[in-house]
Amino acid sequence: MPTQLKATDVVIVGMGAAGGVAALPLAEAGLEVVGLEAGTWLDRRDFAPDEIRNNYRDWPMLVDKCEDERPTSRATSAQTANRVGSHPMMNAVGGTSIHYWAQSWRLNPWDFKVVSETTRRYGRGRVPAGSTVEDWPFGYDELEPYYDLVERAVGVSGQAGNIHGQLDPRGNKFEGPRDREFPMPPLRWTAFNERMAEAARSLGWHPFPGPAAVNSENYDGRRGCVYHGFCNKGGCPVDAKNATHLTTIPKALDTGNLKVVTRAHVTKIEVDGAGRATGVNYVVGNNEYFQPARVVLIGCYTYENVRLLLLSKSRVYPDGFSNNHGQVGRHYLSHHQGAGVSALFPYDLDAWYGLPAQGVSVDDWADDNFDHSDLDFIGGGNLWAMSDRRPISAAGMSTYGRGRNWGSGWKRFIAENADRSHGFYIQKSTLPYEDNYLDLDPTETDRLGMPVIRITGQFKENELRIAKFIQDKAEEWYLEAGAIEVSRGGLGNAMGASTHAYGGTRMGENPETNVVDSWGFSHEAPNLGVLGASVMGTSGARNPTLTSQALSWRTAQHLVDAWRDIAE
Amino acid sequence: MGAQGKSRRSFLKKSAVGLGGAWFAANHPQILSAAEHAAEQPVTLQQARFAFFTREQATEIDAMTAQIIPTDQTPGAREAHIVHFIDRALITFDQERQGDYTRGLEELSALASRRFPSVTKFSDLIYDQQLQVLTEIEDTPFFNLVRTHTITGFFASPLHGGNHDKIGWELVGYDDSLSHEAPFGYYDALPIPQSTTVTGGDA
Ligand SMILES: Cc1cc2nc3c(=O)[nH]c(=O)nc-3n(C[C@H](O)[C@H](O)[C@H](O)COP(=O)(O)OP(=O)(O)OC[C@H]3O[C@@H](n4cnc5c(N)ncnc54)[C@H](O)[C@@H]3O)c2cc1C
Repeated sequence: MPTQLKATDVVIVGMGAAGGVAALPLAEAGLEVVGLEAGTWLDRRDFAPDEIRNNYRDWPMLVDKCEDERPTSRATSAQTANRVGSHPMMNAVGGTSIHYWAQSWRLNPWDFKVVSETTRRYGRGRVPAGSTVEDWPFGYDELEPYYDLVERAVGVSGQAGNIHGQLDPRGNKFEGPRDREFPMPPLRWTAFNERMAEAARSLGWHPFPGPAAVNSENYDGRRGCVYHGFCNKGGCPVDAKNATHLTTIPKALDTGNLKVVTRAHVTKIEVDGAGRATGVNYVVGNNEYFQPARVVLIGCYTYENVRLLLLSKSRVYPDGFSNNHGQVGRHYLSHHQGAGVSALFPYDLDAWYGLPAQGVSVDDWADDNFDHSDLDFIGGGNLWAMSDRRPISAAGMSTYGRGRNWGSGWKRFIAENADRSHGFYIQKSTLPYEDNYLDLDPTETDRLGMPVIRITGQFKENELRIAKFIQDKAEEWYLEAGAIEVSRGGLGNAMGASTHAYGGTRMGENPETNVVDSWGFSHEAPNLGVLGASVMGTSGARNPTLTSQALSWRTAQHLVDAWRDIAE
Repeated sequence: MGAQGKSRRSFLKKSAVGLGGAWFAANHPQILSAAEHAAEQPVTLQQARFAFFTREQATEIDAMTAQIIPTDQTPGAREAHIVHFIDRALITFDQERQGDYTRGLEELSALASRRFPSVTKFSDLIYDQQLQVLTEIEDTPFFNLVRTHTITGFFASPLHGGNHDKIGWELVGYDDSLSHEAPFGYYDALPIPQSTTVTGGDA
C-alpha cells in the first residue's frame, strides 16, 4: 500500500520547461502546489565544459529515467518497432531546459491557422490528403500576452520585428505583432554571422538575430553569456542560460506555496468513480506514495505525457486516462529537422566561441511567408545560421573529397579547415497524419516493468517537398556568402524519437479529435490539465519550448481564474 | 554498434570494396622525417601503467593511433597520450568495447605477420608497412573504432587523459578560455580575410 500523503490543491508531474513555468502563476495566486520531479536538482557546478560528457556520452545524470524508457520506433504499422538508441531529453528540476539550445521562438500567426489560411489563400484541396491537421482553437493574438509574460519571467534576448504592426527591419518582419521589445537585446553576432546576414540581404531576404533564452547582459541577478561554447547538451556554468530551475521555479518557491519533491517517479494518475483525477501515485526508490490533489497537471514531455495517460487505466477509462475517445497518442508529429545542408568556406568562421542560439535567421521561406500558388506543398522552413562548434565534432567534418579521414593529409586538412565548415539547422512545418501515432509497445518495458512508448511515424510528401525546396535556398545562401563546397543530407524518412515531439494530447474544441480543450484541460476529466508540446497540433518551422511555456502559463492562469469550476 | 556477435574472422573484413596496393602507392602521403624518427624510436611505454591493456597491446594501439594522427611538423596522437585515453575509456565509459579491442588487436597482429612473415606484431613493422596494413583494414569496424577513439581523445578535454598539453586544441586553433571577447560581430565586425585556397588533404 502506498503511503497516503496530505492533500494539495495542485500536483504538477514534471518540473521541466513547461511544468516549471506553470508552477509560478499558481503559487503566486496562493494555490498550494506540489511539483513531483523524477530527477534531482543540478547546479552550475555540475556543468563542466566537457564534450565527452555532453555529447559523446549523452550527459549521464544521477537519474536516467529517460534512458530507461527509450521509446521504440518504426515508420509504419506494418513494421516491428525497435528501441531507439538514446533518449534526447533529461531528468532534473528544470528538465530539458537545462541542456537545450535555448532558441526561444514564438510561433508565427499562420501556424495557428494552417487549414483556414491555406484554404482562404489557395482554395480547397491544398491541405495534404491524410493529414489530420486542424486550426488551433485560438490565434496568435490570444497567446501573445503569455509569450510576453514568459519572455520576461524566464528572460529572452532578441530583436523585435513587429511591435503593434510597426515593422522594425532589424527584426523578423514575418513575426506576429508584439506588445513591446524583448527584455534584453539579442546575443551578439560573430563576423561570420554578419557576413551571412549581408549575403542574405544581397539575395533580397530579411535576416535577423534569433531569440534566445540566454542572457545577453546581466538580467534578473544573473550574468550575461560568456560565449564559451558548450551550450549544446550542456548546462550553463555561469547561469546565463535561462532554464526553469534558475528562473520560474525559484520564484515560485519564494512564494512559499510550491513544494518540489525530487526523485519522485509518477507511475499512475488515480481516478474516482465519476472519472475525475484524485491524485497520483509515485515511487521514490522502493517506497510508494499517493499524493492526493484537487487538480493534476502533467508536464512530463510528449512521450511520457502520453505514456502516463495510457498506463493509467481504470474502470471509467479502460483504454487509459482521458482516452475514451481514442485520441490519446493520435496526431503525433516530430519536427522535420533533418535534410541538413553543410558548407566549407575559405576563411575561418570563429565559431568556437559561440552557442547554437546565437545566429542569423531567415524566415522568408517559412510558413506561408511566400506564395505557394505554383508549389506542390504548404508550409516551409526556417533557415538558421548559428555559431556553434566544439573540437571533437569539428574534427568529424567531411573532407569534401579531399582524401581519407586519417593520416598526415587529414591532419593538415583539419588543422586548416576545422573552423571553416558550417551546417544549417533547418526546421520545417510538419503536419500530423492519420497513420502517425504513439501507443504502448507490446513487448518492451522500463525497469519497473511498464511498457515504453512506441512511435509509428514517417514524414510524408509535404515534408519532403519542403525539405528539397529549402535545401535549394540554403545552398543559394551559402554560395552567396562565398562557400567553396556545399553538400546536402538525405531528405529523411522515419520520425523516430525527437527533441521536438508534438501531439498525442492535442488541444481543440472538438472532443472527438482532441484530448484537451482550448485551455489545456481534458475533455473527459475536467480536473486534468496537460502541459507541453503534446497539446500542439502544428509545429511551425521553429523550436517549440517558448510556445509550450506560454501555453502552460495560460493553462495555469485559467486554473486560477476558474478554480471553482475546475477543482470542485 | 558493437562487434559482438560478429564472427572473429569477419571482424577485419572490409565493408567497402578493397583499395589495392596501387591506390596505396598513389596516395602515400609525404611522411616527414620527424615521423619516421618517431616511429623508429623504441616506444617509450615501458614505465607506463595501464588499467586495461597489457603492455604489448598498448604498444600495438599506440602504433596504430600514431598512424591515424601522425607526428609530423606538429605533435600527434603519441604526444597526446591517446593510448592512455583509450585505456581509461575502456575501463570507464566505454567498457562495452573491451572485447572489440581484444579481438581487433589479435587479428591485427595476425594480419601483420601474414603480410610480413618476419614479424609477429603490427608495431614491429616499419612505418610504411604499418601504413599499408592499416590501409587494408581502414573500412573495418575495428579501425573505425580506434579512429573514433583517437580523434575523440585528441580533441577532448585533457581531463580524460588524452589531448596532453592541449596539443589537439592547438592544432585546430581552439583555446579553452571560458570567456571570449573578440572577434565580435554585430556591433564591431572585423573584416574577414579573403582567400580561396584550401590546403591539406591527400587529394
Ligand atoms: C539538445 C536539445 C536541444 C534543444 N534545443 C531547443 C531549443 O533551442 N529551443 C527549443 O525551443 N527547444 C529545444 N529543445 C526542446 C526542449 O528541450 C523541449 O521542448 C522542452 O524541454 C520540453 O519541455 P517539457 O517540460 O515538456 O519537458 P522537459 O523539459 O523534458 O521536462 C519534463 C520533466 O518531467 C520529468 N518527468 C518525466 N516523467 C516523469 C514522471 N513519470 N514522474 C515525475 N517526473 C517526470 C522529467 O524528469 C523532466 O524533468 C531541445 C532539446 C534538446 C534535447
